Amino acid sequence: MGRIRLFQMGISLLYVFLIARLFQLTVVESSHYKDKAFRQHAFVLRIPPGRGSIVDTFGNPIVMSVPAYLVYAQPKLIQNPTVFSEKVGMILMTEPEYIFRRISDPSLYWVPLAHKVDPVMADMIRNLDMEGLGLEDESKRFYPESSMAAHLLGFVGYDEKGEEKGYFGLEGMYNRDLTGSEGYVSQEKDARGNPIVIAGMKRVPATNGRTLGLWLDRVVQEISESALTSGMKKYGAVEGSVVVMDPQSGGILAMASYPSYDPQTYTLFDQSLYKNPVVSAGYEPGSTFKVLVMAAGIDEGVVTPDSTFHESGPVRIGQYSIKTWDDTYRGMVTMREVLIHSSNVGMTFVAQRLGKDALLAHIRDMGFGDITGIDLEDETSPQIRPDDEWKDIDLATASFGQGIAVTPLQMVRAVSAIANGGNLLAPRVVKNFIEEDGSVKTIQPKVVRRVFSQSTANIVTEMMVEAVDKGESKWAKPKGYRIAGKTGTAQIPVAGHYDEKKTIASFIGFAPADNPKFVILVTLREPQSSPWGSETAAPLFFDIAKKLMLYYSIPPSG
Amino acid sequence: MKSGQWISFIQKIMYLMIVVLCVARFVMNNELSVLGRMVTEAEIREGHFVRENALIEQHIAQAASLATISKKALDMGFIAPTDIAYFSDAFLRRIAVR
Repeated sequence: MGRIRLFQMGISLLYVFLIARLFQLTVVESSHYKDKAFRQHAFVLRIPPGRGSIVDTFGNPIVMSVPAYLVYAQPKLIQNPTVFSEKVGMILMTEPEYIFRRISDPSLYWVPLAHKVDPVMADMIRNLDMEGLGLEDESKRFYPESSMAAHLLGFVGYDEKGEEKGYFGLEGMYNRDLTGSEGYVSQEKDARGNPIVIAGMKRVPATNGRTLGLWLDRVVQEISESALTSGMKKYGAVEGSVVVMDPQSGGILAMASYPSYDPQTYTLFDQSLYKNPVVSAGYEPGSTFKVLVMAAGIDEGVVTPDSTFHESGPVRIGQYSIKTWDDTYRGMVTMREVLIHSSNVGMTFVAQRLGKDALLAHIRDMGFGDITGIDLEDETSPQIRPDDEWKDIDLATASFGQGIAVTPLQMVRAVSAIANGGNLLAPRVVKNFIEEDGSVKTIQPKVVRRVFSQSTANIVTEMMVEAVDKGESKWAKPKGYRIAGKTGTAQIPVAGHYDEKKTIASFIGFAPADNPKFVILVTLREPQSSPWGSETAAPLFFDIAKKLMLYYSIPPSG
Repeated sequence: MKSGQWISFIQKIMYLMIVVLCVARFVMNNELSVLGRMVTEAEIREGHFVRENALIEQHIAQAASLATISKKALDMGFIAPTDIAYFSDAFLRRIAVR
């Protein structure tokens, strides 16, 4: 009897244990085993999204994604590591020792050997048919126009998780739009790993990234870049930039800076080159700023084009003396002549007539001291000092563009307001988003605010046309065209004073003056052939303008 | 028919059904396996076509790039425009009168 009871108790305990174990398996560790079972009889395939392209205003690709491969090794399956390293190294053009080291780590089951391998090389790898060597699909960025507009585009690198990520320019700004979202396929498989067709299959397609349609025109960009590089060589400048903007929409038609880099091989270049100087580097605009101060004076009604003042000699402000650039004083001069001869003394007169409050209000109104909000990563703006820190001498020097820093983009935007009749626009690089299904979402141009009256814009345009026709750079102007513009030569501040020999030469203008199609700013840092904007930046400006007139089929007006 | 004969008949039918079902399952498994392989192959082909398409797009973009066009234009004897003569309306009218 005792034995039977003992046996019964044993059986009961066994049942209790079984029930407890079942509870543990089916309830407590349910999700773990579900996952394990799912992995055994199902496979999930990641569908990576294709990164969106970037196309110019006519749909020509500037950046696109093309197929590439990741070459990997599974060290535990490799039979002869030495032969493996030699054969693979020869195809990948890598030292066999490097590959040998990579595959010799006993703790690794999977080792990536090379990223972004092109299809031809991938075929050669595939033909090796070696154990422990495999390929995975990837994509890489392809630049049909080579390193064109590198600063504007940015590049694609990797984040801390090893995922692709856009940096700088449009790639950084629109990384999320360009990336898209990943899809997957989950399906049951048989013992051989083939999908079971009648079993449940879930397919979530990847959503490819959007294509960015730009305002940029690759021909205008090419004209600007080739003119800039040849101009820099000719004038011996150390840095330079060209910005071309459509003054009616705020669209950026071209943006070039030099020195630059190649986004395809960005790792080979110094990181300091990645930033776009047009949106992030401040400079003193020099005399190009005079047209804006003059516009402020005319808009406020304190001067007219025919207002006169007596330019008898240097003007004294406190302990400082302000001279004209050529130390020549022309007696009674009009405001037109002030711009034609680019008189610092004359502009000091305008600033004094305007007064501190009105001048600073106009400077801020024209967008200086604040970012423009352009759709490019890393835009910064030089600060404008607080109103109460402005002294008389600061107002005077600001009137001819010294002692105040701006970005090239801020300058182009402000002068565009003169070109388009007085509206300050939001500058834009992207014109539209093109979805995978071909639908297009267009971004409308945006007027931020009116900064000049139509009448002021017309008057200043005429004064700028005269400045081109009669000023220092008239020799370089293409004949028959009405072009509005202004030269600039600014000394570079170095350790609290201005370097006499180093200048930033610039020219800003628009054409045709009566119905402007484009605004161009050219800046050259430290030109060696001549320090003056009229002898370096101006001919470069006119060279670009002339080519653009031909490109846009704009005939001469007279 | 006696009950013993019925039982024997039903047993035979059952055996037959088991054999038929086994054969059917074998055939079905085989079919499904083949179909599964075909699906896999179709997916591989699809991926291959997608990649091929992307490569063709790349070649088109390369062939249509400004650098390629400029080089071909030079090879064909074109030169970069330096100046353009524009005819005024008055000039064209004069030509037309003659």
